[in-house]
Amino acid sequence: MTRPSSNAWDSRTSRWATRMALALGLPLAVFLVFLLAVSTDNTGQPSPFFAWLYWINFVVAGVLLLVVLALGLRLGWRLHKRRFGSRLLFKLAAVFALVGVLPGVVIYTVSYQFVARSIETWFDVKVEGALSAGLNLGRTTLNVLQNDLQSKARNLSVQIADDPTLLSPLSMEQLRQQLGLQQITVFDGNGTVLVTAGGNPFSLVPDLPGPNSMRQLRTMGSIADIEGGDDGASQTPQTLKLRVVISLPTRHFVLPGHGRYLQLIQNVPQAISSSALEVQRAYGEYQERALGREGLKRMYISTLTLTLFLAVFLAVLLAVVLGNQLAKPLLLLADGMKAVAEGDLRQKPNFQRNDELGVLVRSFNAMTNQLAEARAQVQFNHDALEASRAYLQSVLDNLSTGVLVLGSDQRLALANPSATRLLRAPLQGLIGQPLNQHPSLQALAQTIADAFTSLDEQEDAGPSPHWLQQIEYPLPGSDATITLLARGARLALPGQPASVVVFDDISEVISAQRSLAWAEVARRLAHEIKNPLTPIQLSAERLQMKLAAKLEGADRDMLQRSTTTIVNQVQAMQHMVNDFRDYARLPAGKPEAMNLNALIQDVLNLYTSLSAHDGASPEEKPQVRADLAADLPHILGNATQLRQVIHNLLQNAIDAVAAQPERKVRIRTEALPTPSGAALRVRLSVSDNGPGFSDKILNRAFEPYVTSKPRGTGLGLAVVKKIAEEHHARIEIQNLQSEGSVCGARVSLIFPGLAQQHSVDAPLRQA
Amino acid sequence: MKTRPASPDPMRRKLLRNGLALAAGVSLFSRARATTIDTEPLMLTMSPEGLFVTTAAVFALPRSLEDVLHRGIALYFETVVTVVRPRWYWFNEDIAQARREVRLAYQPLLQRYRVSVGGLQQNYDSLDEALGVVQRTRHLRVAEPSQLTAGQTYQLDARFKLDLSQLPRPFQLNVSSQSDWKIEATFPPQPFVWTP
Repeated sequence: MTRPSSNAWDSRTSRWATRMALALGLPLAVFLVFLLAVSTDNTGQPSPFFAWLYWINFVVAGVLLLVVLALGLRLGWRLHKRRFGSRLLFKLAAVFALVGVLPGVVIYTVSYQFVARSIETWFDVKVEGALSAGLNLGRTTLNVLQNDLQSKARNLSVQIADDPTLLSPLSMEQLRQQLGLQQITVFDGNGTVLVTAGGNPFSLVPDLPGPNSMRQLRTMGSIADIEGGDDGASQTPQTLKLRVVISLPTRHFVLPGHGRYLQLIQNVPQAISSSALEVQRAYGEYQERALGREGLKRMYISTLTLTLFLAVFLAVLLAVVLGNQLAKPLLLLADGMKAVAEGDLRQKPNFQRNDELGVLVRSFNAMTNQLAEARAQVQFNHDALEASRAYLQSVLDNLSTGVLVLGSDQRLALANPSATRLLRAPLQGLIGQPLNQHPSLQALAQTIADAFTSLDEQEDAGPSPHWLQQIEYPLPGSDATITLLARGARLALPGQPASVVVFDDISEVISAQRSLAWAEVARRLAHEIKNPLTPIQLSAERLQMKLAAKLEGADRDMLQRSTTTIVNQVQAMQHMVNDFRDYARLPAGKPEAMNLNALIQDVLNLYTSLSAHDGASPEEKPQVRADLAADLPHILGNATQLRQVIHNLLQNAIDAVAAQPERKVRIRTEALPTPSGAALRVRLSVSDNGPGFSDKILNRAFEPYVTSKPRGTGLGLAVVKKIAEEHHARIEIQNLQSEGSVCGARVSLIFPGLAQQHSVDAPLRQA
Repeated sequence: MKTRPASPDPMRRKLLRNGLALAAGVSLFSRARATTIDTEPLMLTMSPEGLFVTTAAVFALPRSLEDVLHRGIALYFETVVTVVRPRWYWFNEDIAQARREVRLAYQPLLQRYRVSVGGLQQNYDSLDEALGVVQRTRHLRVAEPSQLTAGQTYQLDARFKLDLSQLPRPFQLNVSSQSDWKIEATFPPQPFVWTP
């Protein structure tokens, strides 16, 4: 019975061991109890195995007790820990144990009483008295027989003394038969047989008393003895034999011990002897049991108690094991339920049993499987949805168009990053709030609301009703305004009114449109205005030439001044018209590889000489500094046009710094590395420390007639832009910031550099 | 050299047992109440036929035992004599052993005591006579001459006791706790040199 108790059900091995231990231990225990009971039954023969059996049973009971205690402690501990299922197990075990123990205890109590009482009833005074009386009866009978034999001996001795002839075998035999004796012997003090009759015919020597008896005979003169009898050592009852020896009287003097003796031997009748011996045997057994009564009782009761303990322990053990067997599928189910409730839908170990519980467990597992499949399907759908949402989100995020989704009351439901960027408002923070909550968006919100209202007023506008509107949107935090092209539509979502507004910053498109328009206007104006100018000038010159000589004094002076004014103004107008024409129709020069630095040097030389020619003082002369990169790649460009670009930029810069106490203009070139390393780019930037551009100008700086200068056509930067576009250069304009305030402006052009000579022609043809 | 493990010699065992018992403080009581037995010195007879010993362990039968005897229950006494060869390096070696079992019984019918030794039976009218036979072992042959080596020193150990295991079983459960039933004696060991 080496039954592991702790964690007995936790592993398959220990479960197997438990089963083996039960399978071996239970029959062993039952067998031991049986042996004990059997050995108790046979009280006559002391069994040497009894003690062994007793102790083995004792040890088994102890082991069982330990196991039961261990199981009980374990159960109690689990109960205390509120381990799941322990209460059910406890109840089952308690019920089983009760069912097992209660009958055992009842039977034990009854048996105990029975044994104690019945053992006591075996022994009472009457039985003992009867046995003693029987013994006395036997003893008295034997004494009577012995006395009878003694008197016979005495009579015989008298006869022999009277008639010595009787001492012959023949007469002795007659006497023996006459008296009904077994043997008659006459012998002397030395044990010499004088005459004998009867006795064992096969024995030559007659049966004489032993040495002790002889000694007694010599001193006492006679002996009377009862021989034989059973002392319990031998099973076969022996017959009793009476022996009487008396000395024969003699007339002669004899030495003591040398006389003659007469011995009579008579068998006690078979009935008497066997009955007497039987009584003696019964008396002995009765006494033995009476004396061993306490031991007997103790033996029976301890056997009984031991049996009870074994039975009870086995019952409890079986109760726990059976309870466990019964509770296991329930616990398995409950465990599974708990796991499912916690969301664990993995496959549970199947429970191989064919009863209802097994069916229950299997159907539970099937249900869990279905649940898991359903959940997997849901998860799959969810993932797909998530993926499509992520896809949509990424599309929205990377769309340059701003998208706003509005719910009821213009609550913002969604805004993509482009919307935030375009509107420059914290739209992500406004999600869930009405759009007009933000001060800078109120106008926009109103416009959108109006647009939707008017859309709603139109009945059946079309298959997809939407509005399209151009909105001027003042950028928050600056005085600039951008133009948004917004398009709105109702979203057909069930249950909730929603609308989507899509908008684009079309400022640049408008700017470009404006540029085109201006170019057209300029071309036409130039054409229309230029034609009459030459006749006007010529007419004025001819007036002066013809009339100068005819007039005198003040009239002549006036003519002189008027014609001069006309000519000058016409020339100025012509100049302006030329400018317009230049803008409208720039000469399409042939681009060629050239060094930008050389061009800049040329223009700078011109400027220094120009400044000197104007007679400006050295203090007023703007300081033009050139930072030219040493190994600048060549670019593809038209020298004439680029010279004009540089000239325009420098002129703008110099004009900008005219009012500054310290006039600084800086022109620089540098090679920009590209991340891919394919082709270098060249940046030409002109910066000044002037007042910078206002926001309004900054947005539209490249449009014609947009200027910050009091005098100026506003065509300078427009021309620059146009040329830059023809050179596929990017143009950037920005204010320079220093410590939060504007401290100058910079215009940069970034040209594609020429890395290889053979790729020169490609952009040209496209241009 | 034979190194057969043998039972430890009785003297040492007794010492050990007494020591343990004294240490436990239990055996002192039971010894004091147990029947006292006078063990007379062992008498050895060395003859060419073998080694013979005569023992005498004199005791008075306690009243409770006498009562049991008179109720017809037989008592078995046994005397075990062992010749051992003392070995300082190991347990003593058992050379030879002799056992004598005496059965003492009372016949209520004939009011006689019967002493059986082996197959021999002897009847006595008085208990003292019967006990005299029980207590004395005469000329018990312990060892054959072939088992002993001349000139070698041996030791003779002898025990005398009431054999409880032959009692009826109920008694066995009962008597283990009763000191009256504990009739046991160990004779003082007797060294001798085998000179036939």
